[in-house]
Amino acid sequence: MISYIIRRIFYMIPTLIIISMISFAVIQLPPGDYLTTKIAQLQAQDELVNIDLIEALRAEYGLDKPVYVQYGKWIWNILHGNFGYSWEWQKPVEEVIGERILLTAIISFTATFMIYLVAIPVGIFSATNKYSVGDYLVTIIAFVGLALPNFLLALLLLFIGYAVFDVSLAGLFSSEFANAPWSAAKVGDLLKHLWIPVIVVGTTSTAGRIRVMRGNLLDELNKPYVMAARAKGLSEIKLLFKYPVRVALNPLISGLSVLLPQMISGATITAVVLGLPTTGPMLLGALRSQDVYLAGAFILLLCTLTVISTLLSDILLAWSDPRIQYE
Amino acid sequence: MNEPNDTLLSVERLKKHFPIKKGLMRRITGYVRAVDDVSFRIRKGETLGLVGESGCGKSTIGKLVLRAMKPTAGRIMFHLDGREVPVHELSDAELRPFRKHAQLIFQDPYASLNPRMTVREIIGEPILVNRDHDSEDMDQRVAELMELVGLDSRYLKRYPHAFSGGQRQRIGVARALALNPDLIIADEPVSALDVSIQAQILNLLHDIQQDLNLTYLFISHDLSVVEYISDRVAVMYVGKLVEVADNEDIFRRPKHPYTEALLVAVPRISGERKAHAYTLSGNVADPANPPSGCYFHPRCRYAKDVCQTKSVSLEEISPGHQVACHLASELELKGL
Amino acid sequence: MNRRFGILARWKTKRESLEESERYYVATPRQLMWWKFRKHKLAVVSLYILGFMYLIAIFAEFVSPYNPNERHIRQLYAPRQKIHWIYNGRFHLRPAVFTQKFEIDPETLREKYYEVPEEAYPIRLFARGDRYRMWGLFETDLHLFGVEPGGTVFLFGTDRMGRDMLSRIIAGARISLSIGFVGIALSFILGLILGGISGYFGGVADLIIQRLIEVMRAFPAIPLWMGLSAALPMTWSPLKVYFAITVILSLLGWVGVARAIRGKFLALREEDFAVAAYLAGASKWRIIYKHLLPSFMSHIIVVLTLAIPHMIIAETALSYLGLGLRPPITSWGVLLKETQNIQDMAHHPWLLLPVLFIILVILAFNFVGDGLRDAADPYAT
Repeated sequence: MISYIIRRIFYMIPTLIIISMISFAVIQLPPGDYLTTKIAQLQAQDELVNIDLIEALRAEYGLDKPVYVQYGKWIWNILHGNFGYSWEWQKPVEEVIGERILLTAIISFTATFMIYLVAIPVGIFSATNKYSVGDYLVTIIAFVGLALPNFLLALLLLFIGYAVFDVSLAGLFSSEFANAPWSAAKVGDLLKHLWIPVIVVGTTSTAGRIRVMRGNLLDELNKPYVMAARAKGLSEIKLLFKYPVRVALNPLISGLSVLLPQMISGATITAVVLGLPTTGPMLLGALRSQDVYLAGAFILLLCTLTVISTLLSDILLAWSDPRIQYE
Repeated sequence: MNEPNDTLLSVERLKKHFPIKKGLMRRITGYVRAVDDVSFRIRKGETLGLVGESGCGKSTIGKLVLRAMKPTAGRIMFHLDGREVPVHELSDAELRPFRKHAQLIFQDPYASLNPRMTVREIIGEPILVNRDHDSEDMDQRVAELMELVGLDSRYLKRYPHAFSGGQRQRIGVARALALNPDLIIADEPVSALDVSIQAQILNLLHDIQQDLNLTYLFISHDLSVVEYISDRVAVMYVGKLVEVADNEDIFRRPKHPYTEALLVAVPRISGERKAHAYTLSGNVADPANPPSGCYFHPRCRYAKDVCQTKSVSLEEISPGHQVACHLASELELKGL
Repeated sequence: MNRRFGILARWKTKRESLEESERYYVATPRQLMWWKFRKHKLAVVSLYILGFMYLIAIFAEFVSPYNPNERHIRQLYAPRQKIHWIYNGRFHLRPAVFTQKFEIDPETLREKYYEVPEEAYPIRLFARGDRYRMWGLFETDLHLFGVEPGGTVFLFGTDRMGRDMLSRIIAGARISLSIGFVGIALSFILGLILGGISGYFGGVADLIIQRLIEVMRAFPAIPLWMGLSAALPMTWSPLKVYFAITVILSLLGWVGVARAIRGKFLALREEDFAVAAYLAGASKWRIIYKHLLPSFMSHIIVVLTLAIPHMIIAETALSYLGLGLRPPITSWGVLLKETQNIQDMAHHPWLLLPVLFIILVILAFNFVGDGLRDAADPYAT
C-alpha cells in the first residue's frame, strides 16, 4: 500500500510539469503583454507612469526574454513560494488569491460531501423501493437535475429569489462582512450563504450519483448470494448493508477522482453567475486583462488541487476495495 | 532425428513464463511458470487428450501451439508432407499461411461467434481471408460445411442469436473445418454445454475425425469426456506433464498418484462403492511459487522424503507410457 | 361457423408467429437495436423532439418571423403577444395578435405594455416579411408565418433592442445545436484515432496516450476553456470564432471518447470471436473494422450522444461568460448573456425563454442516449 502511494505521488510529478507548461502556454497565447497594454492606456490618459517600477518588474520576470526563459523564471519563483506579481491588483499574487482559493476549495469539498450525503441514501431508497411512487419521483427529479447545467440552475435560482421572494441570493457574505477580517461571526455568515452555491454546484452530480447508486445496488441485489442470505433468514436491513451496499459504493468512490475536477470547474463558473468572491470571477478578469501571473497561478493551483484530489480518491478506493491490487 | 514419420506435431521442452512485477520500480521479481518444460507428440489421425485441473496451463499449451502467444522457450514442430514447420519461430507474416493447418474450437459457443455476423459470414471468414474460394464457390462451401456439422444450410442468413448453444458449437466446428486443417485444437469444446448436448457434439467431433482424417488435441478438465474421445492422454499438473499414456493405460493402469486421484473423482453409474475412495485435499500449487521436489508432493498420499527434495521428470516405464514419479515402479495404483 | 374461423385464426397465428421468429432470426443488429430502442417510449418521443428542433434549426430563416437582428425601436422589451381566437367581436378560425402599446409607469418609470384589441392582426401562413438569403443561396422574403404590414407578431416578446425573441431563439438553435454536432465529430475523430491506437497496439503508444489522457483529465475543464477562449483575438470574424470555439471544446472532449474507445477495444480484443478471426489468418485491419468497430460502434454512439449535450452546455456557458461566441452571432449562450442583469431578468422574464429550450434539448439528448444505451447491446438478455 505504501509503495502504491509513493508510486502514485511519483507519477504525479510529470503530470504536474506538463500541467504547468500548458497553463503557462495558455496564459501566454494572447499577443502582447499586460505592460504594453497598460503603458499605452496610461499614456493615453496623460497619467504619470512609474517607468522605473515597470522596468524593474519587466526585468525581474524577463518579459523581454524568450518564452522558455520566462517559463523557467516563473516556475523557479513558484518553487520558492513566489507566484509573481498581479499587475491589476498591484500586489503579489499570493496575497490576492489565497482566500479565494480557500473559498473555492471550501465550496467544492462541501458540495462533494453533500453529493454523497444525499445521493447514497436516496439511491438506496430508490433501489429498494423500485418502481414505487417515490422511486419514480426520484428518477424524474434526477433526470431533470442531470440535464440542468450548474450555471443555468444558478440563474434560475437567482431569478426565483429576486422575482418571487425579492431577496438577492448572490454573494457569499452579507455586505457588512464582505471586506471584514475573518472572525467567528464572518464564518457564521459564510455558512448562511454557502448553501446556495453548494446546491448549485452539486445538483447535477447528485442526480448522476443517485442513478449510479440505484443501478449498482439493483445489480447487486439480483445476485444469488443475496438470495442465499435472504433464504438463511437474515434481516433485510442487515442483508442490505452487510455486502450489497458496500459493493455498490465502490464505483461511487472511484468516481470521486472525476467528480472533484468537475466540482472545481463547476464552482468556477457558478461563482461568476452568483458573483462569489472565489476564483471564478477573478480568473475571468485576469484572463481578460492579461494579468498573466494571476491567471497562471489560478490555473496552476486549480489543476494541482485536482491532481491531488484525484490521488486522494484513488487511495481511498484502494483502501476501501480489497479487490484492487496496488502492487 | 529419427522421428516416426507419422508424427504431425512434436512439442519439445516448451516453456511459457509470465513475469511478475512488483514494487516501486516494477522490477521483475519472479515468473509464473504456466507451461514448464513440456514435451509431447501427436500422430496423424489420433486424438491426444490433455487433462488437468483449471489453471494448470493446459489452455496455454493450446494457445502456444496455435501461436496465439509466443513461447518463452522450446520447439513446436509441425510435420506437413515431409516438410517441417518450426512454428515456435515463425514471424507474423509466415504465420498466416500456416494458420490454415491448425484451427481452434472454443469453449464458449456464445463469445466465440460474432453476434453481428451471419452464419455465412462467420463460417466463410477463414475462406475469405485466405482467398481459398471465390465468392460463388464460397456459398457452396459454407453450405457444405453446415451440412457436414449437421446444420440446415437454409439457415445461412441467420445470425447467431437464432441458435441454441449446441447449434452454435456446431457453427464453431464448421468454422474450424473451413480451411481443411490437419490439426484441430479443441479447448474444452463441450464444457459450456448441457450434458445431453455434450454427447452430440462429441459424436460429431468423432465422426468428422473419421471422415476427414483429422488430428485432435483435445483439452478438457472432464475425464469422462477425455476417456470417450482420446486415443492417448496426457495429464498435466502445475505446468508440467506428469503422465502420458494410451487411453486404456491411463484409465485402467494409472502410474501417477495424481492421475489416480483424478480418476477417483470421476462419477460412475455402477452401484458399487469405491473401496479406495478419497478426495484430493489442499489446493493446486501456485505456479509462481511451486513446492520443492515433486510439485505434487504436498497433496500426494504416497509421498516420501525423496519427493520433497528431488525433482522429477517424465520417464518411459513401459512402451508408450511415460510417468513423472519417483515411486512409479513401487506403487500399486487403481484405475477405473 | 365460429369454430371454423377459430381454427383458421389459430392456424394463421401459428404461421404468422413462425414468420415472426424467422424475421427475428435473420434480423440485422441494426434492426434488433431499433426494435429495442422503440420500447423506450421516452427516448422515442425525445428523438422526435430533437428531430423537430433540428428541422427548425435547418430552416431557421424561413421558420422565424423576423430577421433575428432586426430592431423594432418602438417595441423595446415588449412582452409576449398572446394569441387570440376571438377578435373583432366574434370567433375566428384564424388566430390573431393584438397590437401592443406602452405607457410609462409614473412610479417605476418603466414601460408598461397593454394590448389594443381594436388593432387585431390575423396570423397568416407563408407571409411576406424581412428579406433573407436562404442558406446563402437565394434571396426571398417568404416566412412560415407572419402578419400584415403595420402589425407585429412577437410570440416570445422582444429584448432590450426590440429584437424578436422567437426569431433569435430559432437563429440561436442553429448555432447551438450545430456546435454540439461539429464538436462531437471532431472529438470523435481525435478520440477514435488516439483511443484506437492506444487500445489496439498497446506498448509505448499506449503509455504516451494514457499519460496524455491523464493530464487532460486532471485539468479542470472550465478554467482551461476560459484561458483558451480568452486567447482568441477580438478581431477574428464570427465564423472563425465559431470554429475556434468548436475546436477548443473538442480538444477537451476527445478525452472521454478516447477512454471509452480504448477500454472497449481492450475488452473486445480479447473476445473469443476476435481471437477466432486472428487464428483464421485475418489481418489486423480486418479484425478492427469487421469485428471490433461494429461491436463497439453502438457503445460509442451512446457515449457520443451523451457528450453532445455537454458540448451545448459548454458553448452556452462560455458565451454567457463573454468568452465564447459574440454578437452578431446569435447562439443560446449569447442570448443568455443578455440576462446577466438580474433586475432586467426579473422584469422581463421572457428573456429567460432560451433556458427552457436548452433544458429541453439537453433532456431529450439524455433520454435518447438512455434509450440507445439499452439498445446498444441487443444480445443481452
